[in-house]
Amino acid sequence: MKVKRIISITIAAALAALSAVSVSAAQLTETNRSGNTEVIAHIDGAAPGDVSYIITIPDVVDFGTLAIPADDNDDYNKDVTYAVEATEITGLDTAKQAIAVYVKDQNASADDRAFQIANKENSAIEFNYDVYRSTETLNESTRVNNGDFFTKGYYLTSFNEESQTLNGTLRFHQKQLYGQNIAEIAGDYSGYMVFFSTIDNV
Amino acid sequence: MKNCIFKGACVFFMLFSLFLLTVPAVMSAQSGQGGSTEVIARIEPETEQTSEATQPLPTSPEPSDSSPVQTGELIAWYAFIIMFVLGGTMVLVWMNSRSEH
Repeated sequence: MKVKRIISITIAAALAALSAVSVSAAQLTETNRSGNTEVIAHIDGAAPGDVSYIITIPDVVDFGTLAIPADDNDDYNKDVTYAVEATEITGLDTAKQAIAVYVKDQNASADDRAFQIANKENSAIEFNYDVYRSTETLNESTRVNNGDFFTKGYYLTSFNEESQTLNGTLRFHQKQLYGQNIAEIAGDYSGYMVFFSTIDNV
Repeated sequence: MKNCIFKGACVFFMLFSLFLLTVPAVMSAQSGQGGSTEVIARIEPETEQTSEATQPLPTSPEPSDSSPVQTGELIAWYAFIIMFVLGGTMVLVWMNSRSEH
């Protein structure tokens, strides 16, 4: 009898632990800034079956140390690369569907859609950066925040096959720092790009 | 009395665990979820800037400092540890009460 009680309590504890793991792995919360997005969905009107995918985005992109340029020319750009990958796709009808990825600044609104990083000590000090969907050609046609802005954000790319990767660039125009008071703007800066994934009919 | 309380707690524990098992399937059955990427930078104070401000800075892309994706592992481990400690505490208290009898 004693053994049966110990066994039943142990089974209860194991079930609780397993459920805790499965719940946490499927959720993205404010404290979980991981870039893994896992979605399981059923699309009405599409071929029978569930569509599931995992889009991998970087956890952190670091511009490094920025410096005030000697003049206000446009030569002082700080570029860093990032990658968004369709890590896993199953059940997608590639002839009719694609996984669209959108991106926006965490504080973006209809009136202010810029990608920004803010001083951690004084959030009123902000600087903009641009997002490109290319690492080689950085112009208006590849600039993500040059396109239409939707509620979900700017359209970034679409995936219809597993292992497809978008290699892009974040560009910080250090010209913004020219003429600034270094004592006022010195410090650590942070901002967030929020990605949104959805299954679109093509 | 104590045995009844612990039996009830065990039953509640098991039922709640079974309920939690169904939650991920319900919450994840929707399209359009997302995640976020932190973008960071640093501006050094003036004393460290003097030599850098006199010449153009390179524009070649640098590899991003990105770490592999780790979805919810830390939270999952915290939840597991909390549940394990609670369960273990219940077992130890119950065993102690039994030994006293």
